[in-house]
Amino acid sequence: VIRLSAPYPTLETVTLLPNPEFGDSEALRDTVQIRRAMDGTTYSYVRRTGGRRQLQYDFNLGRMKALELIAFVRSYQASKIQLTDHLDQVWVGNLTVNPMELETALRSPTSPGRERVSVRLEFEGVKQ
Amino acid sequence: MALRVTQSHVSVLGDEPAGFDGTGKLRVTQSHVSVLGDQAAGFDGTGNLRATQLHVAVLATEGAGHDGTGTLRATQMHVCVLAGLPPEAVSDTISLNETVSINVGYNKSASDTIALNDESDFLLTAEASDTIALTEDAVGLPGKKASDTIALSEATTLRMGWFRSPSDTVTVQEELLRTIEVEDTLALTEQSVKVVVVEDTISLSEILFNDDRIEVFDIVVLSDTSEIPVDGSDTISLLESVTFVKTGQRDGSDDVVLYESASYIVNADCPECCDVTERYSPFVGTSSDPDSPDPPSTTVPTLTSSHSIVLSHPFDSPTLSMTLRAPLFGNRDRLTNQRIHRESRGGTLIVYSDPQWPKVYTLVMDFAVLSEETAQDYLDFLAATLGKEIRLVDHESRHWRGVLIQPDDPITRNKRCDLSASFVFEGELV
Repeated sequence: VIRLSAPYPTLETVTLLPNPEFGDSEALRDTVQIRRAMDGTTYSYVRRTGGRRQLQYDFNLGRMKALELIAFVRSYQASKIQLTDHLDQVWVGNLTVNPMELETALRSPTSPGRERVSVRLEFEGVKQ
Repeated sequence: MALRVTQSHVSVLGDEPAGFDGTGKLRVTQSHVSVLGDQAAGFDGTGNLRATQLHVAVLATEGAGHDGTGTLRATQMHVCVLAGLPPEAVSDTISLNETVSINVGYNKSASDTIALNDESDFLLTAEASDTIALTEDAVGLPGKKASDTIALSEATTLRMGWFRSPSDTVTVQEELLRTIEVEDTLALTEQSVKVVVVEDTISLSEILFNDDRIEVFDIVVLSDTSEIPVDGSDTISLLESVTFVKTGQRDGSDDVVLYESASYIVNADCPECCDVTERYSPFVGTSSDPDSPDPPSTTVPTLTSSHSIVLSHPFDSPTLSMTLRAPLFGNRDRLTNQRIHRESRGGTLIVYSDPQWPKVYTLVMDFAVLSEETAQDYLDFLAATLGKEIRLVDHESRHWRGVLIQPDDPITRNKRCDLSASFVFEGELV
């Protein structure tokens, strides 16, 4: 279960999401620039981001849960968010996905809203 | 011829020895009284009987004071013994009054030291209380300091399960006509083996008059700890008044920011059990932060499935409308937020958005298997409402207010009676 809590640190709202689909990713946001001098010497310029990483999740949600997620993003799109991932790791950062897009994937009579929605969530933050 | 009694005669008559003063009068000596009363008697040398302490004691079987004049004197001790009563009350009254009056401005010091110790035990209702009122006045000269330091410690040991309440009440008032320093130091320690009521009441009142720079501050730290879930609250009432004659620099500031929030999750151990990962169920708590964004609505959206969408214009009183069939799968709801991403020199990501900045919903829909007539009606409607606000009722019966953008999206004739179209609508839910 993915847990989104906001605004950080005075957490007021919690939204629970199911586990993401396979294919989720975690990446550094640090950058390295390489410069090579005329004599062949290599210089590297590093820009660190203080341990900030980008998390990317793809969800297949019921229609009603997708509406809850988009309402959450609408409220806290500029706030710090605490994210507890499916590995029980706690992150604090911001949702960076913009625009957020819900794509209706298929019909699902057993789901609330009777449809399944695909949505991608992008988050950048620091692991606590 | 008168009879003259001689010693020899008395002895013979009374068969006792008798004093004889040589005047012919009978003189009583100690030995005579002792013989007559079978008691020792004082003899003052004048011939008069004198009662001594020893004699009274023998007669009354009690000790009696004797003042050396031959008069019986009763003392406090004797009365106590006679009445048989123990002491009922013990009280101490201390009155200290110190006055320092020197006409020249040398350093003056006045101090009172009082130590009271009350103990009360083995009583059903035990009360131990100290009441101290100190008043010090220092008038007229700089370099003076008036301070009171009071430390009260009261302990009540509950041995019989009765209600006992320890309390300290301290009232300190200091007043200086020209203040250099006013300081109150209170140390209250209360301890109960079985706590029924623990209460601290602190009342501080400071009055300052006329100084170049006046600083009045009170620091009170209260901490309540309970091992059982009870409501813990501290009530602090501070009253400070500064009366000034001369205006000077004064700084007053409070730097306390305290926000509280509460969040919750229902059935957090098993979210799947109550289907909270499928249905619309944001858990919205509360927050006292005034800058906290508005939380999402907890009202579940009402979605009523429909097989068509309706476009109409104008928004309030439509005069032009058309109906399209429900869109194909793959329709998209897009939320675009206006916000700023910046990265600091240290690599920190900063995201900012003003609450007034727009949050735009965009609906992207594709349609297929339209008839030629319906496709033409759509193009006509698009041409008539270019750039105008329309009402859109989507296939979930939600009403939107907005504008159709990208009017250059074509209709495509795939085959006979099979045309496709698409549009992009930008607006907001109503």
